[in-house]
Amino acid sequence: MEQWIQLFIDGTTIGGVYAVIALGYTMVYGVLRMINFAHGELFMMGAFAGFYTLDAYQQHSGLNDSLPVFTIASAIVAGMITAVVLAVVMERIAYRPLRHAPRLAPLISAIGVSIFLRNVMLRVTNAEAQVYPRVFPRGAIEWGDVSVSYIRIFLLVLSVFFLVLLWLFIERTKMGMSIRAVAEDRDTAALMGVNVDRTIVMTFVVGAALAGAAGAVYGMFVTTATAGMGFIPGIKAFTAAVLGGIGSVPGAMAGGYFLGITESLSTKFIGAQYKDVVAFVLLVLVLIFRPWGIFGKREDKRA
Amino acid sequence: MPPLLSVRNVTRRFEGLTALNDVSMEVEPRTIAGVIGPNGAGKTTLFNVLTGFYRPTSGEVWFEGRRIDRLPLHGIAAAGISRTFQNIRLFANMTAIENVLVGQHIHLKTNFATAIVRPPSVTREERSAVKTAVELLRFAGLTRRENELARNLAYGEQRRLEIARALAVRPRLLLLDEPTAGMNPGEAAGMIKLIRALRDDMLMTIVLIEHSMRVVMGVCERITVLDHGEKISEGRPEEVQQDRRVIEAYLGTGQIITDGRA
Repeated sequence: MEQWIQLFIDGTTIGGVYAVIALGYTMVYGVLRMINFAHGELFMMGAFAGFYTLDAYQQHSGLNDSLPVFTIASAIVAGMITAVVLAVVMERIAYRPLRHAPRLAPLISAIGVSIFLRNVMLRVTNAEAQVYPRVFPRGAIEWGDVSVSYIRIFLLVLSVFFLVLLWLFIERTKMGMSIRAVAEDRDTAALMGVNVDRTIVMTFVVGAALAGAAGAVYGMFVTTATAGMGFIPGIKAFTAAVLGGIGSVPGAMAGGYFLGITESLSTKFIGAQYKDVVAFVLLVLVLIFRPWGIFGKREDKRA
Repeated sequence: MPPLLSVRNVTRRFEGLTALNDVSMEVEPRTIAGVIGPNGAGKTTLFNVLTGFYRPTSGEVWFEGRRIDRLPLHGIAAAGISRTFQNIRLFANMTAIENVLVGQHIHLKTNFATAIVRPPSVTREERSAVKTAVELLRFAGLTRRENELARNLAYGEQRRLEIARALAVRPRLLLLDEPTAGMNPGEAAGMIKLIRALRDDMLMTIVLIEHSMRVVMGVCERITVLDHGEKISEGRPEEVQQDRRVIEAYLGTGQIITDGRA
């Protein structure tokens, strides 16, 4: 029983990260019908921004020890800002000019942006992993055989916080409503006075902010940042978005947790080295048998 | 009084096909104008030119003394024109009231920052937006349907919701594309009442496309008849009805006499 709880908690932690990243995929897909394959790199850049922020505090002040709450928060904010700026630039120069091109064109452009960002960071870091300064108090909450580290709890709570915030944004605010309207019918939304270009940029901004924050926190969790670190979480989050039905916000959230927990359970019953295999087998199965997602409803209207 | 809308020699070609050929028409404020014609006459193309979906190949469209045929789509709403669609295009997975709220967006001052910080002015503005939306829904005959998803509404209700959403833009010109299409006689009668109320109570100027002669003859003050992309007649309903060219255009279909839908 305790083992189950442990696996469940471990899975929920990483699942929350997947869910937060997956929202960016699903929202951009919603408004543009395009997979932003550079989204994982926004996560990676967020992790680097977080690393450089914490590293600067480490070099020039004692704030990481005396005021970790502040340095952690500013690392997360730095991750968000970096990802947002990059997302706005990539939308402007890599995607918007291709808005009316065949659907494959922006997809290839996205892969190009992804390769570009990864190589920029490879160059900057000389392909070396950057080790985060230790800001998080070590230690864990123990309960019988169940052990949950503080950083894990932080990750768990923070992802839920971001998911709730995003949900409120999408459901309750004017901008969220515009995003949903553009996702349903871009031309009609425009005709009702919605500024479509601005709404698309906002979608990138929100998705990137979440990815950047997730990157910074994930970096603290794994304690390193590498140029290639966006790839696997990015593809996993994409899988989560597909599991939940691409284009669906609640689907991406559910898909993230579902994937995280499945992975976690598979480490126990199949073997840790097959974790990624399990995730991608799941992706392939869903694409073959339920391309509209495990939780999504079949919608013939959606092309 | 100068016309509210003025279509000047508009031609629209689609690779070889001339969908509109040198069409001109004027619409006076607070009137109900009709555009009729057999299938493929260019009625919907005309609406698509008026609302910025298509640019005219040549010719101009003026609204309230301002040229509008080069505006982006969202500029049309800001200029004061709104429309409904022949094949209903609601935001199907949003509720009725959300559909109307989207239409009101251009009149709200909230931006991204205030949407998150939410100062009292924003809360107040949003509350009044919701109140307006509820009133519009009531006007369109959708009382107590606010929180129903648009796709779960009955067909006639969906058409009414499109009108409520179009009104939320606060247009001065409303374009209705076959507002009674697919309706049973009871629903159609209700729609005609609603269209009249739009003009009489909301002082709206309306242009509608119709197939159903009964609707056009009953509700429109001026009618423009298109056939093969050209204007073949215009005038008051009884004038148009007598026009030989109109009768010829419709000959054999019987549409001029009966209610017939093609």
